[in-house]
Amino acid sequence: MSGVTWLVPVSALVGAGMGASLSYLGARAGALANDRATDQREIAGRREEWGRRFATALSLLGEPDLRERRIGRALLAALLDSQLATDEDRRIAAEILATEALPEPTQAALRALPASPDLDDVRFVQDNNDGADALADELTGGQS
Amino acid sequence: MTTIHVTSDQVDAARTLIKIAGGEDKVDPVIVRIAHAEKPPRGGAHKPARAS
Repeated sequence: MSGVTWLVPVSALVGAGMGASLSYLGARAGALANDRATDQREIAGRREEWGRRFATALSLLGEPDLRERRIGRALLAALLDSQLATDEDRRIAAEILATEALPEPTQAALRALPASPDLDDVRFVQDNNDGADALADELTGGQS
Repeated sequence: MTTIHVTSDQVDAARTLIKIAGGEDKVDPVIVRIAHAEKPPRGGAHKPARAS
């Protein structure tokens, strides 16, 4: 066999092998790109659903019913535990809760205290005239 | 001793804020005090946000 006669089939074999490898790599890259696109769509969908729940939680905080406001806060805390929550979401929720926890009348009461009071000298007493006792009774069957 | 009355909403909001902040050391000490507000005896009339 001359040098040329064996070169043709070997070249064909190598060419076929390379072609198959390139086809496989191309298909694999396409599949990976598809997987990434699917993952991104899934994350976007989850984030969208998370956003809807976050909006629901914030909306519940404005409800007149004490029980619904509590559900809103519990939902908010649960949502902010998620990896889908951003630092911005946490900052917004913290601002809203701080405003709720320390409304203007309480700030005014604190401002009326002597300058730089020791907080240990201030008693904070929970109002029991806002339906919380009734809700506690309802939730515990009167065991509170 | 000065007394400041707060609502159960304030207490609940303060507790939730502490939870999402990651602990009592991450929030204003006043928020911590509100979260631990004393519960008055039942039947007593308590008004919120009034220093006495």
